[in-house]
Amino acid sequence: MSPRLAAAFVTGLALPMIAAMAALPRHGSPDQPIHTHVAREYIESGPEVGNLVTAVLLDYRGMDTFGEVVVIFAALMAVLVLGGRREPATAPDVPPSPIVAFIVRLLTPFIALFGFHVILTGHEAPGGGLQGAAVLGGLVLLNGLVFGPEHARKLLPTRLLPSLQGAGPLAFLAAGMVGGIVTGFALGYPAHLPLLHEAMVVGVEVGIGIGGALIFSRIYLALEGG
Amino acid sequence: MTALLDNLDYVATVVLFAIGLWTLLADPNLIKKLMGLNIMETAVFAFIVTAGMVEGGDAPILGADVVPPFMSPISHALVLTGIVVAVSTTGVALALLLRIHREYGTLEMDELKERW
Repeated sequence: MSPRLAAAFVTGLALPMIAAMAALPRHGSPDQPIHTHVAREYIESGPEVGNLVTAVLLDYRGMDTFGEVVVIFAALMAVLVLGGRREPATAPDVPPSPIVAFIVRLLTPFIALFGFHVILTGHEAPGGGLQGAAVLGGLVLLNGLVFGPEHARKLLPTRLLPSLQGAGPLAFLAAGMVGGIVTGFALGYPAHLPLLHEAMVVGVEVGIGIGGALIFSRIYLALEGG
Repeated sequence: MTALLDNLDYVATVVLFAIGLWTLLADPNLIKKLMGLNIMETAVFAFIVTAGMVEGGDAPILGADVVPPFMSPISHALVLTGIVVAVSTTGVALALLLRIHREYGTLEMDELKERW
């Protein structure tokens, strides 16, 4: 599309949208519809302690999140089928600056620790499985950019990699079946058995976190031709 | 006009959306088209999170010493799902672009049209 036509089209689309934005309820006011229906119900009758975002993701909209982890798994499959660069990238031609290399090497264990912390405490503090997965995946990507993909590959558990990549959907499936047996609903969480409830939530979070981190790293490595 | 000024945050997301859409439509380079798509996605996420905001509200992480009002947890959960889907589509799109580059040696639309 020519730039002039595109500019006309985008302007024609954006002006009515801006007019519609002016007609929306005032931004930030507590009596907008978004705050007065489902969200209020979740806040008032949901868990009394903990991260409500994780509660929405795993409890109220568990099926949605199940679909989402299947989507990233499918994306990895698609990337692996399409393949990456023709010749696998090796270590960068220019060695990384000593300062950058030192800082990355120094921070790697701390970033990894933070990633696992975010995954494990996600149901009661800010964080969660996918957020931790993003931290861990970003760590692998950072190492790959600084030291080359071959170095980043060494951070991944080679032997367990094929089975751990599916950890997200598998953990969800397991929790869904346990919930189905205990409560009678697929992905139901037993509120009357606090210990089992906790174990299921943490299990799903760890599955999503580890599986997601490996999928993010693997997409990057596959694009680099490995 | 005052309504528009009250909702200036929403207007900013529309402007961001328009920038992304324009890049997607008008730029001849496929990588930049993908970046335009990502900017559009970011604009939608910003819009949903902004809609979930409450004046003086806290993050919806309940505990002993936090008091309402809370931000809407639904919009946060929705955007989290959206971000993951956006990452997936970006990964697949990058793999497709690498494949196109391998076959045709270019990512410019006008050069690609000549080689069809």
